[in-house]
Parts: sequence; structure tokens; C-alpha cells
Amino acid sequence: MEILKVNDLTVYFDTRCRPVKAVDGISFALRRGETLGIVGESGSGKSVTALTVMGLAQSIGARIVSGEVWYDGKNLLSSQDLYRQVRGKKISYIPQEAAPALNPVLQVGKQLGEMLSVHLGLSAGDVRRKTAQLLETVELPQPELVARLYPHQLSGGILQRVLLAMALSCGPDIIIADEPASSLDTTIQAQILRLLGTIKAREGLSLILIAHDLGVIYQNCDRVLIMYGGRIMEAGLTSQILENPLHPYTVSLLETYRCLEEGMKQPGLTKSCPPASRENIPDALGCVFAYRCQRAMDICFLKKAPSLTLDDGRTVSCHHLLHLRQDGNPDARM
Amino acid sequence: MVRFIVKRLLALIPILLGISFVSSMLFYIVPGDIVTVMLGQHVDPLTYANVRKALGLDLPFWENFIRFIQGVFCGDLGYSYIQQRPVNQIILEAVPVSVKMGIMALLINIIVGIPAGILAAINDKRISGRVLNSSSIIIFSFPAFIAAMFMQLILGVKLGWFPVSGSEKGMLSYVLPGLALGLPLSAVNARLARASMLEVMTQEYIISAISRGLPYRRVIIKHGLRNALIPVLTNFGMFVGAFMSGFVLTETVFNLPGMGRLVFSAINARDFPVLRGILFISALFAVLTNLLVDLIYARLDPRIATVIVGENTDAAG
Repeated sequence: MEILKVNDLTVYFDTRCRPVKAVDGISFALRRGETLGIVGESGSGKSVTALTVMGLAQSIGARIVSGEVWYDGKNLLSSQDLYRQVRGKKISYIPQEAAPALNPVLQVGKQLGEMLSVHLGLSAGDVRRKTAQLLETVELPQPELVARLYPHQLSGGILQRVLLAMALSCGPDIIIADEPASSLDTTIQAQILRLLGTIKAREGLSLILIAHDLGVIYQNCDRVLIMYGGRIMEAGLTSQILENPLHPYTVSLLETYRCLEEGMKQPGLTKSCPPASRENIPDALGCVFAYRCQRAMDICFLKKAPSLTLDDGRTVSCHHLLHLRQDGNPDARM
Repeated sequence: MVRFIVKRLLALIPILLGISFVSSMLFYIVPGDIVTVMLGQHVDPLTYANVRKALGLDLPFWENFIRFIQGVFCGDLGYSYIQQRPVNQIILEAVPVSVKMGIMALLINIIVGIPAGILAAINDKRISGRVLNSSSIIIFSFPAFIAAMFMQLILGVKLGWFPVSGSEKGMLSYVLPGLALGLPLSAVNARLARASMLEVMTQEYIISAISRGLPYRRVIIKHGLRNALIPVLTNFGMFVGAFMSGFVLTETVFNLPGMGRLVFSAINARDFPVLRGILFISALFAVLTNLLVDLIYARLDPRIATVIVGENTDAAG
């Protein structure tokens, strides 16, 4: 059953010369109890998608061009009032970095307790008890002590746990985690992800996990969206996609990942292209990935690739696949 | 915290010694003979000698300086030959007037400046925010003494709500001077508060607080305001530090016998003992105010408490 459905979401950032298409017409659904991964390189629109689903597009200066976010029978994007009822309570968000996300002048316990008193209307005594209990849930020793400290007195790993406790505080249905702990070292990151997984399973939550680490996606996600340039390149079951990628972008992502695992070797398949240098490239008429794709054909530059649903349930948007199919060879793999 | 205060109070000693040293030098470095400057060219030798002795100018500089310091330790800032009164008495009469006016201006500053700045920031994209912002520019650029005279005319003479000049009617007589002094300053603070609030509102913890579903008003007041107030507080500190001697114009327009007027008349009359006393008291005041501002900083921001005050304000230990 689908608990959250996003339809045709398009989010632009207006710049002086032309709008930057951060998210360009994506649709996906989150099923109850599953973990949905969103993966892609920097600037592919993962975080903007997450923030827009949280109703925070305006706060980061973005403009929602079109789209719907359906939760509990309502389109949340139709009114900010709907968001006020669900944000933090039914849908919570875990930001990428913990330290900047906490107010430096308030004790962390106060910031956590604040949610309890605002959303659940608990009394001061109950707030204190529940705060300590929540901090214990995220495996923090000495919860009373942690609650009394300020963010600058705590380490990144502890702060990430505090944010996790905040996300859990009001018994949400959905948690959107935007590269949780990716700014921390691998050990702590693994701890946080394991903790998130345990809590998710115990409470029966649905999770959207944003990452750029394919290993994290492979270990944690049931399904995955591969994003590039604000569009979904390929979506489907994690095992299918990562073990048998069809889209050239997914293939190159995996190749790069393997190169990193084996030691630095030139990946060769894809031209590297950090996000800033993309500003000079005009808006793609066709596939957003075409100008980096080794297999690009003429049509790739001219026409947007339609997304195609295959027999195994995954969707791929690539002209190549379409051509191969039309040539009467449906089982062809790239 | 106590250690920090004691340390800062100890730092007062070299500052006050320095200011006494420089102001004592005035007696010796003023061009020409200071007694002649004070009393005029044609003065009978006996008076000349008396005044010279009274000022301690027959002594070498060092002894004069040490005598002033000794006097300060006994709570005596010297004697004004021109006014024929102790400097202590003269300054003690002027200080309360300036302090009352300063408090009035400060209150107006806090009541008008900060809310105006915050409102301008949170309505930044709307007409009301722009009106607030541009009106603070207008108020700030309006010459203070013209504004003061308009206020005297309208609020004082036509409506008769407040006394136009003098200090006889208690706190009521300080309303107009407070307004004249406080309004332009609150325009500065409004602009500061606006800029600071706008910056704070783009911080990640504000977006994070909204993402946690907290009501907008609560996000502004609990999470935004406290962080935005820190630069505004710096400005307050500078204002309060300057106000002991910087109110010459306002005190003249409203005929208030405060420190500003005293400085002015002391310079005019070349009354060096009074000037030295004022410099001493102003320095004392400026240092104490900045100590107070630092303590408020530490109260507002726990990070400053750890760094500046050098101890944790929490119950961690």
C-alpha cells in the first residue's frame, strides 16, 4: 500500500538568467513499511526533492512549478496548513548535517522537548521524562546529561542521534533522511544507519533514505530511485537495479563505485562533471544525461526519453532501451 | 562567572591609570601657560601664584599625576577653580540627568527599534516590510536637532503633553529628549536587527525548526530572535558607552544640565580639573557597560559563555 505519493514534481530555482531545474517532473511512491532509496551525484535534485516533500521549498528559496504530494488522502502541497498538521508529527525529516540543524543557543533537550509540548501537548514533567526516554531509544548513555548540554558541547555522532530522537519523538509514519551522518566517519555512519534500521523495523515506519553511497543503498533499501539532473533515470527493486543496471547512468555509477572499491582507477565510461560546471550547458532538449553518455545517439539530444516500465517492474528512461525493444529484442541488456 | 567579573574589574586599573595620565598631561601640554589661558593676560601675580599652586602646577608632572591618583583613591576628583566647587559635586549633579535621558533613549530604542527591525525582516517581501525599512532610513537621515525642535513644537507646545525644556518635571521631562536621541538610534538598530534577522532566517536550524513542525511565530521568537539579537546588543554597548559625553546637542536643545553640557562648558571655560574628572568617569562608565554587555552576551549565547567567560554555563560539571 502506498503511504506517500509524489506526482510530477517540478521545482525550479530562479536565477538571474534562467531558472535552474532542480527537480524536473518526477513521480514516485513510498509503500508502507519499505525503505526507498534515492541516489544520484551532487546536484541531481535529491535533497530538493526531500525538502519539497517536507513543504520547505519556499524556505530554501525554490519555486514549486507543479506537482502533488499525496499523504493520507490529501495533497499536502495544496495548502501550508496541511503541512502544519503533519510536519514533524507524521512526516519527519533528518537533515544531512546535525550541528547546523540545531539552534546553537538552546539546550538540545529543550529543542527536543519543544516538539513534544507543541505536537503532543505534554506537561513539563512528562516532556522531561519523554525526552530522556527518547534519548535512551537512540542509544545515548546519560540522557539527562545530554539533554542539558548545548549543541557545541556535543559530538557530531551524538547530535545525529539527537536529531534521530527528534524525528521519532511524535511517532511519525514516514521519516525522510537526507544522507544522515554522511558528514561523519564511516563507523558512526554505519552505527546511525543500523540504529535507524532497527527503529524503523520496530515501529513499522516507512523510510526515504537519500544517499550517494551505493553501498548504503544496497544494504538498507528495498527500492531505489536513480536520479540525475532532476529526473529519475531508473527506478525499481534495489537488488535488480544494482545487480543488473539498465540505464547507462546507473551503469556508470556502479562502475565508479567499483573503481573506488578496488582503488582509484579511471572509470572511463563517463566524463566527470562537477555540478558547477554544468551552469554553462544550456537546458537539455532531450535526455539530461545525453552529453555525458557514451552511448548517446542523435535522438538522445533531441527528444526527452520516455520512461518505460519493464516486465520486472522497474522503470527506465532511456532511448537506447526503447530502440532495442523496438528492434524486437526485449531481453537485450546494456 | 565571578572570576570573569573580577578579572575584568582588575583590567579597569590600567585603563583608568592611562586615562588619568593622559588627562593630567593636558595641564602641561596645552600651548601657553594654562593659568594665563584660564585667567586671561592681565592677572595680578598673587592670584596667578595661588591658582598655580591650587592646580598643583608648581609641582613636576609626576607629582601632580600621583596627587590626582591619591585623590581618586579617597574619592576626590579635584577642585574646579572656575566654578569654585569640588569636581565631585559638579559631576554628581550632571550624571543623573544624563543617565535618566540615556535610559529613556535606551527604552525607546528597545521598544521601537528591535520590533521594527524584526517585523521588517519577517515581512521582507511584503509592502509593510519595505515601508518599515525605508521609514527607518528616513528617520535615521533626518537631522536630529530639527527632529528635536519639531517634537518640542508639536508634542510640547501645541499638545502640551511633555515639558519642552528643563528637568523639573521628573521622568516626564526626559520623554522628549529621550525621543530625540532614541529615535534616530532606534532606526540604526532597526536596520541592524533586520539585517541580522534576515541572515538568521536563512540558517539551517531555522529551516530545521520549521521542518519539525513548530509554529512560525515560535520559530521566529524562540529560535530566530535570540540569535539575531547578538549584533544588536553590540550596538547597544557602543551607544551606552558613548552616551556619557556624546549628548551635547540634545542636552543643549532641551536645556538639560547633563554631562554633555558640562563637557561643552568645561572646554569653553578651559576648566581642566572638571574635564579630567569627566574623562575619568566616562572611562569608568564605558568599561563597566561593556562588562555588562559581555555578561548579557554570555547569557544569550552559550558558545560565548564557554569562550569568553571561560566556563560552562550548563550543569555539565
